Amino acid sequence: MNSEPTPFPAIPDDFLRQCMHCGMCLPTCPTYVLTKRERSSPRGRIRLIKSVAEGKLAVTAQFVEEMNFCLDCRACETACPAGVKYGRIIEETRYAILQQKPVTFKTRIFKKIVLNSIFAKQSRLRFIARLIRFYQRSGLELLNLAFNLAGFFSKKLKEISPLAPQISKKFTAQLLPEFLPAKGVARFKVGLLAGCVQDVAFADVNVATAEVLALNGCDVYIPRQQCCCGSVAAHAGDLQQARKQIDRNCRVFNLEKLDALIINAAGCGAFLKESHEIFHSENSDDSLALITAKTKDISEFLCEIGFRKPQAALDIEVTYHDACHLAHGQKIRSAPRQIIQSIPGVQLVEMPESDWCCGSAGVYNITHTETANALLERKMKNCLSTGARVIASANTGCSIQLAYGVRKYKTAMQVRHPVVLLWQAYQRENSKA
Amino acid sequence: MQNRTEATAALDKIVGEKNISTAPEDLISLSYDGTPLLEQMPFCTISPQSGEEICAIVRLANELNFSIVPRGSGTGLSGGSVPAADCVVLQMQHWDKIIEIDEENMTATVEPGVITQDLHTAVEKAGLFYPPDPGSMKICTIGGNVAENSGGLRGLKYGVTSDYVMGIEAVLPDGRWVSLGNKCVKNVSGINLKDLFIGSEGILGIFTQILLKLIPKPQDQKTMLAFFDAIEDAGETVSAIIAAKIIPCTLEFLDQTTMRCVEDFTHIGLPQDAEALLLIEVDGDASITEREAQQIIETCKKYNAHEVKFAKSKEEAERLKTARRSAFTALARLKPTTILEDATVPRDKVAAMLRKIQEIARKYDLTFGTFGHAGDGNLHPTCLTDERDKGEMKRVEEAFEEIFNAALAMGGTITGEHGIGLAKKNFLAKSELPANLQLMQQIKRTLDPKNILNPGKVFDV
Repeated sequence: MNSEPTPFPAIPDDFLRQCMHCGMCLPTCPTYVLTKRERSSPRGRIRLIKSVAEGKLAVTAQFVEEMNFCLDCRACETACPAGVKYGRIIEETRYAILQQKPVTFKTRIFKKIVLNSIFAKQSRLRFIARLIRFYQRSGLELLNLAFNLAGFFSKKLKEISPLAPQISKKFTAQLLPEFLPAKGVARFKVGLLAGCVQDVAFADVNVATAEVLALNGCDVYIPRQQCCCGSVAAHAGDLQQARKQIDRNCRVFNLEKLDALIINAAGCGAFLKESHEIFHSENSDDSLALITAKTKDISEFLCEIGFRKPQAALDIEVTYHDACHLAHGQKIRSAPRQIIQSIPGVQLVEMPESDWCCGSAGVYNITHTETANALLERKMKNCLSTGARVIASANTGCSIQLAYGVRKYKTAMQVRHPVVLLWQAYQRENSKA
Repeated sequence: MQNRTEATAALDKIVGEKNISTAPEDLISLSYDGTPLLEQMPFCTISPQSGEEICAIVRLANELNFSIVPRGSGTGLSGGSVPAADCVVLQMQHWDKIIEIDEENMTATVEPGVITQDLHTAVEKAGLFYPPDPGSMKICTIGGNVAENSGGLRGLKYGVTSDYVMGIEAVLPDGRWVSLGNKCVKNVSGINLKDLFIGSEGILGIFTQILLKLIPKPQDQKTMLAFFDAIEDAGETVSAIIAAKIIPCTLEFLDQTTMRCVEDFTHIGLPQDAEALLLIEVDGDASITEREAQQIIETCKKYNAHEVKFAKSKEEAERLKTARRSAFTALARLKPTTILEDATVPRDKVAAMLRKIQEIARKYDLTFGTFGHAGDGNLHPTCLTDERDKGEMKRVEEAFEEIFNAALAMGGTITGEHGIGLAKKNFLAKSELPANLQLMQQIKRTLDPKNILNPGKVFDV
């Protein structure tokens, strides 16, 4: 009867109906807990989306703001007994909003430069990263000057400058060969997605991942021609570009021949594991199905193959931060903890609210700095309450945010990926021998 | 109402522009509570910052003829906080201070927006205990609990919210502010008016402060699960445990449909083939819990439980109870619409009532998941349906009517803990004598002659 197309054709009606508005999600939603505002809760947002889909509400500025205020941390999915796929609902809504948005000169430039150029080709991102590193290495005064200059031009830039991750001295390609053979008998063939930001800011995580895999009987492929997983483009609404990057990675990894594509950043893993759904693919033998099937988080994979427990000890107390897109997105909680606890001498001290978002949430700390800072403060309090020296985190965005937290609150804590700790323990075996 | 603009402007003056909204996004997101199928938009929403403001708002409502619907977290299951026509939603969830925990008098003084579980955590730190634990305790508010006289899993042994309310401070529908009851265990000064407001579903007053009784925290708990191949056996077990003069603090029942949905959500290892499950917890001194647990296990076995097992740790016990609390929402996994009721019978009739529900489900060709607080006779027959299927919805209506009739015939009630609200308004006359209902209406008319406070709920005046 209603001939007008609904603004959100991609969200199946049943997805929205699944929510029976019981309110179980409310206490787990960081934006609801901060504001106590129903429209800033998962239940409230679903009702708003439903209202737009039914033509009862226009896509107002306030509506858009509310959709973007959501962290997409998906804690509500973990809490929801009815199994509402909130992540899919909010992401589809954001795609629809972005598609409706008139293309301005600014967004066209952003798309052209950032999405289609920098994140599409890792060599370009590396170049930018080198520039940032130059600034970061050029001494405090020059750095301050740069920030002040930045602040002169834009208040926002000044606000977010301190968030920038410490750029690694060397990037993945300089530290790892394209092929790292298994030590001993090769049991598996795996690919390592070096990532975009991970590659330039946490190259050590990639080194640790590759070395640990090789030590556990994996031939590791790290092709130079690989690119960002595509989630950056997808979250900016450019699904076409994201699809191109997935296809490219399937090709350069020769994914069909591999046992798994190993991911050490939770956000990328969640995106790739759900790509089949994100692109509404009904095809069971395309690149999306392939990458969905092959993607494994490093901790998940290590536990599945029964990784070797290290012999040497690291005498430290570690607390573990559950990355949202690992705990809520991929339902992986115990594997990273098993890795940490496998290391002799390491004591895992659980922090309160370990699966409460740290505020990083993709680019949320840039777009919603104030809320992100409030969440970071809560997270850092919880981290500090454990007395641990190391915060283990298995997602690039979280690690950057937590490292910023460590600097901001002037604590002596260190942020480490669990696989880096495992690699340290393995290395220590050799130094002992 | 004549002039919403006038009312909004006057309200703005009282609460300030930060605490008022007429944005459609806010109004839509306050148009519902936890009850299925009910919704209505308010014309305005306000967050009062003080009792004086609430008094002024109420007086204004009388003057300008708009109505007020108080709201906590909006998890009610009878539509109690669903907006009325031409109403302002009075948001109370930011009234969330625990004002005092008095260890010497064993009381807690709280604002109505305090979340029930937050109160649990706070009082248990002091070695004290606040027993009422509704299924939504992680988010529901004390104000809402008092307004609905909520129960929970521990009702069997510890009673319900009304057993713990010692005092209520409330703004009346005419703008007067009363404070009823105090910290005295014995207090008979005048008519016991405080109790009038417990379970009043927001139609008689707006709570601004609540004084609660606390008890010492039980030393020990033993939590058990028993699985049965026949629902009747589980029902008989419940009666037998109580007949043996054991009062567990929790005695919960889940049928197979519910068990499967809960397992699907929680993955705690519930068997998929058992017909029924009892979740039983005894608490108190360790020597007593030990003995009672043994007796319960023997009783379960006597009534053909094919497996009885203990929770191995406090954490596991907590997981089991949390899983039980997810039952209602977990049932929504199966069908688009989930309609839950809380027909309640005297506890010796639990087995008979369970049989009756099965019979009715078959008769009307409907899917039911039934769970509930079997130990206190408070069952939750839940119909899994699709609101778009008009034919089926008609049968759902008839089936529920028959369930209510059956409960009443057994000496039960149409609602054990969710309240009448909008959802069960049409059945109230069935469950209450005409004189009872008249008395209720008379009280409402006396306190709220202009019918401004949560109008249309419980009954019409």
